[in-house]
Amino acid sequence: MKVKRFTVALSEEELVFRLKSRDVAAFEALYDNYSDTLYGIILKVVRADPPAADVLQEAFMKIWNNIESYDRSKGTIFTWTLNISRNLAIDKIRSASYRKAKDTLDTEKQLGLIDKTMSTESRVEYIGLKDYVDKMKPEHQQLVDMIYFGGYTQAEVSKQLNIPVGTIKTRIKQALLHLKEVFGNELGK
Amino acid sequence: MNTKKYISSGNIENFVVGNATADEAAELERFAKKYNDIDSELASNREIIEKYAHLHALKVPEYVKDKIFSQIRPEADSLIPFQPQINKKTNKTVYLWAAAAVIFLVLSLGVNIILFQNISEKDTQLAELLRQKEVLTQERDINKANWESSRQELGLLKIPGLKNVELRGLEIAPNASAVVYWSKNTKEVYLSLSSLPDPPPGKQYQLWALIGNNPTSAGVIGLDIKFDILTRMQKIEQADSFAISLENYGGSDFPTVEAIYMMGSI
Repeated sequence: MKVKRFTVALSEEELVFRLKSRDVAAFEALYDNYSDTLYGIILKVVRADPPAADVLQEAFMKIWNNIESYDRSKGTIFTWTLNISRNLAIDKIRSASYRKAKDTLDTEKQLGLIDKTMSTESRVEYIGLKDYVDKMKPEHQQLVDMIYFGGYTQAEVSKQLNIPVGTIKTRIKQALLHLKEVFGNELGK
Repeated sequence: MNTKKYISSGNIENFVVGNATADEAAELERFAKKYNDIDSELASNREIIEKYAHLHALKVPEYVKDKIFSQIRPEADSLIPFQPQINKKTNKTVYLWAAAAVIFLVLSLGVNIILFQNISEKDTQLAELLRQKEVLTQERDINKANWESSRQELGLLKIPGLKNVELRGLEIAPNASAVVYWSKNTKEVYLSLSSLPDPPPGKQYQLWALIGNNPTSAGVIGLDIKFDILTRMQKIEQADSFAISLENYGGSDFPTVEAIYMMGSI
């Protein structure tokens, strides 16, 4: 079978269409575009590899097998793949065997630790990340990371960080506005 | 509806990070379909959060991709002919390739069968060769033992004054037989057993030289003695006959008369 590579220019619509026709080349494009990000996020949740690579593999198998159920109106294909990866990663850390080993830390500490390991382990490859997130207020970043990467509900976050639900919503808006500025500046260079 | 107010509410931002309730999400989807500015605000926020996510990218270990695609490819390849969105030209190409693949498959299957038969044949031949080798090894061991025995017997010819004394089984063991070689000149004694029952536990055979009725021990016969192989025994000064008796392990000073198995005179 001839494998055509289109990692650069492939519209989301076309990508989704081809994925739904079980096009391996399209799936490969999806993998090439998103695997590193999904791996980074899974690692942020599970904190170690293994099992991060296993979770990523599981996620891509699930993406491939469930592509039919993807609904564009509910979010981008990336958001969908992210949700799948994130949920599998969360399932992993909440599984009995994993918990046994890592149970000592509460969730808040976990996130703090993740950021710490991220900033040391990936310093060389992703030098830019620190610059970006440093410009974000820590409480904003923590919130976004807990909800977006960690899959926490706002009720859980509210309890965990001891802030009212209303404040969470406001802070998320501020965080995204801030990111918008940062990206606007960075991309404009 | 005041879309500006909705946009500034923070609902969109909350939705893209996954913080919206199901009701809020449904509402936003509805609005996005209806109002262009809400739709574009949603798209822009999605882009931002995804960019943020991409900042966390880390290089996936190489093997992961192979593992995933090795599971997917065979399944996907089998689906190719049923892909609905192929135009006629591609269709033709696909069928050509499919036909080529089938021909190749059949050829390769044929080659495989031939190779497999070859291997089976070779396996049989190998097994036969191994069996033959085993037989030859056994024959060689027997020949070696025979040759050793012959060599020793030839060696005896060099001993001056050598006499051979055939021992015959007595009533107690009629089938027993042995040959004793004794040299009057050198006093050397050799024993070659041909047939003798295994000694019972705690017992051992002993060779005696006799002058009349006076026995002298020529030594005990080791339990590991081999038939038809010459074994050097103790030197004997004088003898007119030889006998073998069964004694307690370690030997006796005097033969047990009722346990004499064989005897022979010079």
